Amino acid sequence: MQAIAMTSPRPDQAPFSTNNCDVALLRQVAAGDRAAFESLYNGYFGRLSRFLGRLTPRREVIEEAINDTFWIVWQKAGDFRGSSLVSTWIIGIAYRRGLMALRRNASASMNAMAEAEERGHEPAVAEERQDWVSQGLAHLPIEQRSTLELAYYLGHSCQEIAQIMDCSVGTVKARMFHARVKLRNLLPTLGGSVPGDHS
Amino acid sequence: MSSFDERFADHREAWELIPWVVNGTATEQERALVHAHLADCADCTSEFRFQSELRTAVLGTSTPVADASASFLKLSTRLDSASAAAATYRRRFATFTGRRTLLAVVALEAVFVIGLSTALSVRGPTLGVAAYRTLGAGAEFPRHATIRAVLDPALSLSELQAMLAELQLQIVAGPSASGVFSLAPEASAPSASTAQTVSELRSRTGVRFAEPTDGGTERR
Repeated sequence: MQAIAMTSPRPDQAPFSTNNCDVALLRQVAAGDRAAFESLYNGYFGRLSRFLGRLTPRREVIEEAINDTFWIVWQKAGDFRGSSLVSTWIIGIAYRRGLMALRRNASASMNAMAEAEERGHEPAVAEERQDWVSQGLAHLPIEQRSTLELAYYLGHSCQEIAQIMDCSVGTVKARMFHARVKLRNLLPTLGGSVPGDHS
Repeated sequence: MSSFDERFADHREAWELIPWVVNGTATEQERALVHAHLADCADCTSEFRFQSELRTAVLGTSTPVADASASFLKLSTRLDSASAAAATYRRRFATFTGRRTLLAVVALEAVFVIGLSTALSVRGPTLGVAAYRTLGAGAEFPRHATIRAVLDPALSLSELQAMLAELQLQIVAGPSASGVFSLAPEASAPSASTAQTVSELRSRTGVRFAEPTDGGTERR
């Protein structure tokens, strides 16, 4: 059987030292240090934009959710007790603010699936693998899509995702299971494999 | 458990662990379990490739990133506005608290005065001399004084003179150590009930307290 290459660490994986830097910044933020706050903001902006971009394609909604998240970080920095990684704490806030922003903008928002379907009518774009995967992800319920994004883009563990999404580890496993089964059916040729029954 | 059951249990466990091995967060033990299983399972090998490809695709997907600086500027403006609003609120609250404290002191004082006045005036036949009479206690008040009054320190001399002239009263003693004035009708004043005069005094803003020296008994 052909050997399978094991996965390299995620590119943006937060090592322990990074968390220490985040903790130090957070302490400065708790003391009202605006420069530290901006550093923390800039350090998370890309990751959060990307993560929230899976919930909605609308930039203004993404920006609103990020700024709502950091508004809370500014207010609550002093309450952070280090029971989780700073990234887990911040992304957990972002997840909840993202869902709230989506609800607030529900009437005006074009959801991810609708946009993916719209893009699907453009053959040239639809042939691109990234868009194809994006379309597949867009067909997943938000919880499953977020679980997959947290695992594969932000590289969080099952336990961390449970903290972020404020649910049990079993729920994370179940969401991942259903996301995988659905994507195997939606993207049958990804990885050169034929979908099988894994239930 | 049969050998088939054990293999199936391993398969289920390995299949469940694949995403966490793919994203590098599985433990060493979990990684070893998945590796060992992949060597014998075509389905899980296929799934591992699929998930690895999926992760690569997810990592490579473009992001609708806005300008971080512009976004932070908006947040910064929002924080500044909130800080300014909070400062204004604190100032208003402090002013309000100051006024409220003053009002509370005045109210407390009024309650004390009313309570004292009530206590002093409740002098039925069974009570005799009130045991807790304070302003009237002592012999420092002249016998011809009909009214004892505590005046507001803010009351100006001219206002006091005007009020006394209007009510045809004169100060016969005081203020005492406790700030009590002893008042008596002017010699030329027509006969008027002390109770009436006390009532009139109590209605004046510059008078904090007034009572007849005899507890309301008519002297004239």
